[in-house]
Amino acid sequence: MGYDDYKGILDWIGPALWQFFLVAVAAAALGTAIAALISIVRYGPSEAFYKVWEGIFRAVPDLMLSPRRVGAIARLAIQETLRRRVMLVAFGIFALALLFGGWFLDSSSDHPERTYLGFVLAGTQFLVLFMGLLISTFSLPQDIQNKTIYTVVTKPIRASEIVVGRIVGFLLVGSVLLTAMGLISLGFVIAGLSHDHRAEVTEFARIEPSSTDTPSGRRASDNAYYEAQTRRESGHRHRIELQLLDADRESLTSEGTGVRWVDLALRTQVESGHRHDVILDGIPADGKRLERDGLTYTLFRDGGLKIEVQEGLYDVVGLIDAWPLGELLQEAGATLETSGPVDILVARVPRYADELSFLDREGGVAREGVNVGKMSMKFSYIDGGSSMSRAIFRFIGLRGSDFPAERVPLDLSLRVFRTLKGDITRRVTGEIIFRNTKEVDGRQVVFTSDPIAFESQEYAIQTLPIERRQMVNWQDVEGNPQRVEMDLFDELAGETGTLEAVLRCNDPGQYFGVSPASVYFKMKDASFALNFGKCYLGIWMQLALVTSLGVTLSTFLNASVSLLSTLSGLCVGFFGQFINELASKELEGGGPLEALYRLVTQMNLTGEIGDGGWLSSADEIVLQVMNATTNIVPDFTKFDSQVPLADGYDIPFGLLAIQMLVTLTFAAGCSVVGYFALRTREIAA
Amino acid sequence: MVLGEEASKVSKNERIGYLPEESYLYRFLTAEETLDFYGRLFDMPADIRRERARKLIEQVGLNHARKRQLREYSKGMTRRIGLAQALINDPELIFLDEPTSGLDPLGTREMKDLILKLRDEGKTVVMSSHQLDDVQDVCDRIGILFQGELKELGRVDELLRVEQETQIRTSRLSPEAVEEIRQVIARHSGETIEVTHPRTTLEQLFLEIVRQSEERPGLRAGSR
Repeated sequence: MGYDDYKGILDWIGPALWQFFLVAVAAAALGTAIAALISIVRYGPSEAFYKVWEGIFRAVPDLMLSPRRVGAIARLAIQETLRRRVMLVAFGIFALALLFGGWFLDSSSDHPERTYLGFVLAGTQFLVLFMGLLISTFSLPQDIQNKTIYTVVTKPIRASEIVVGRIVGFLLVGSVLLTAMGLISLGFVIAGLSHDHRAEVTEFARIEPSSTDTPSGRRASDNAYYEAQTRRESGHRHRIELQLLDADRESLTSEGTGVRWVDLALRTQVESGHRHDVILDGIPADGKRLERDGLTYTLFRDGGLKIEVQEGLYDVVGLIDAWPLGELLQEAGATLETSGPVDILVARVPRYADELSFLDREGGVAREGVNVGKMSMKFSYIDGGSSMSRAIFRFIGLRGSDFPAERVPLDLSLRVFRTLKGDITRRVTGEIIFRNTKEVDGRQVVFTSDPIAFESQEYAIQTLPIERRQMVNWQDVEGNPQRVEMDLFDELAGETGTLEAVLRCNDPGQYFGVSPASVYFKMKDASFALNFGKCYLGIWMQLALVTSLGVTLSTFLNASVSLLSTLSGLCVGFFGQFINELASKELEGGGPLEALYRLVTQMNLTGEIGDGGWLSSADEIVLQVMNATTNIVPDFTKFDSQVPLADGYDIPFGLLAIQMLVTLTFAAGCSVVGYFALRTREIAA
Repeated sequence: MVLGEEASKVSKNERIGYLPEESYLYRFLTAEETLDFYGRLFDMPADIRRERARKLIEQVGLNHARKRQLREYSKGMTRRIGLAQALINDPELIFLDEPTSGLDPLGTREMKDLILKLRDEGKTVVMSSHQLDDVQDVCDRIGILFQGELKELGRVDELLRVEQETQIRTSRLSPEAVEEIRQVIARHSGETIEVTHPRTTLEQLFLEIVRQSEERPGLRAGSR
């Protein structure tokens, strides 16, 4: 899934700043209170006030960090990590995993790229975070234990620099490690997925368009006239179709003399989430001409075929059948190969709708569609047939310049819910119209495009190529229907760039499920490598969070305790949502104590415990404490872009900026806490 | 107050050098890296840092081991690099905690010579030690702390002077001359407490033997 609920950094920053301000004030007040308590215990009430005041007063200049001193501590942290060979171990495990992991990855699955990406990303994430956890929590306590810290703090260094320097140093080490792992992973994924196929030209069989009665048993495309299959490679084979792209239909209709030419092309069909480009080996790039029976055949290296009529009367099918494809290819001396996989590692840039609304069966406006009582809560359903039910995707601020091509890809990812079996060889059909309401001569006029029909592909993203220039219908003042050609973006959407895509289901008794991300225009694809890098940046930010937390906790805890605490923080960060749901009773089964009791007694999730309630009460306390900690540690899963990357969606830069801001703020907050902790311990001046 | 600044202020550290008792240094760093690291903590620019590190390593005689990690260093070498890091900022005030502890006689001598040299450069050196003879050797002023209280403070030569006794040292005196001097002392109603040949210290003997064996390698005990 992409980022349908991401609203942009500008909408985020305002409330975020306000919240930051509130939290900062609260944290400062809490910190002062704790400091006062500690001072009262240590020095008595009269001295305490002075101590706290002095502590705060002195903290201000200490926040001015010297880059050189921070750099020195960072360098030290790097040298420590390198010489203790922590990094080498992490990298070694990673290399081993890649070396042998490849054997166990199933490249014949439906989406091998997800398998591969999931493997390298999870591996990298685990190793890097684990390394970050180890080095960040052990360094400072070791320094204190070995007393090496005393030589350092007798130099003019501030406690803040000791903390920040360490975070920076460990992060630099992590960055190098991540970069190396990232580059190797990218190579591993590309190499692991790379393959090509061969096919025998003699195996082409004549098929009828859209028929299911094909040698492969798969349904033919509605413009396919020949079919063959490639050799099996990486656990799958592709169908190759000869598809009719264009024909000289005008001659056929207007003069009745038959077509003068047809344009055909060999295309591989999608399998395991990708397709290939066809290569006709032995055919020059600028084409090879053959002549037979008054027809000229021009074969192109990329699988294109043009048949021109010199003499004779042919219809389209007659032209295609004049010389069987296999024989033609053989005669031309062509062998059939494919390129490497195409469209397997992509970074789609969706332009989502800004609003999604529904019309109910009677055509009234509804906030939600029909609930068919199954599957994801995210999807809402519209029913088909004569019902007025519609899903309306409203785009605002579309710009024609974002879509350079004449055909704009519109991606649909719809769910289909069938209440009757229907014709199982046919897919559920639907249609989309584009419309916009504009003011013409002081009155509101609805401009509506012709319906664009489609057959739904369940559980797959299907792309409809939409012509930018569409015939648009409207009614003039007298109510007479008018028809005019308009550019979808520049003219129909107008200055505000507002466009509505209205989706309906055509088949009675069947339903389409939509989410706000179900219909989107596809802008130009972004670079996959860059997207991969963005995903790694997400891991980097997770590393930054772990490192900051680890270093901070290690300022006042010893090595093993801070390791455990940071690990707990990591768990809370990753499973925060789960804890929230447990605490709010959305999930059954109770907190850790109750769950343990149920585990041991082999009781189900909902049964009454029957202990008089003390277990649940104790459990509730633990759970609420855990729930409170989820507010301290950021939600790590928010930084995880593995799913969008594997699904082929571009990760927006704005989102990364938000995440980066959160990361830096957290690191800064940690540093402040670490600074005061070090000073309170009177280790550093 | 230290050097006119409040003791709790970090900035006073810029003019202070400190050698902790156990040379608490990062054992995974080399000598050069160690000095460079502490130099950075003083916000020293790279060229000055490098120059001072080079000089100090030479001064403490670790040139041969500049590129070795401290984990391979002997106790004496660690003390010396510890002293070098205390001096990286050219401090006005130097605190040395047990500077000679764990050092062999040669190392002790070198350390003491270094301290004296620092004194000659006009720096204030404050050292604490249990090696009283070392203290006597190098210190101008001493304080004696007992159970956390300062019991005595003053110049070493004044504190150690025995006012009632007079010591005369001379060389190549015949037994007759010694006898004559005894009589002179007796005539001045003085009591001769002791007339002996002074013994050299073990430290001096050791240093002398080392010097000789460096001049004539292969010399063994008994072959003299």
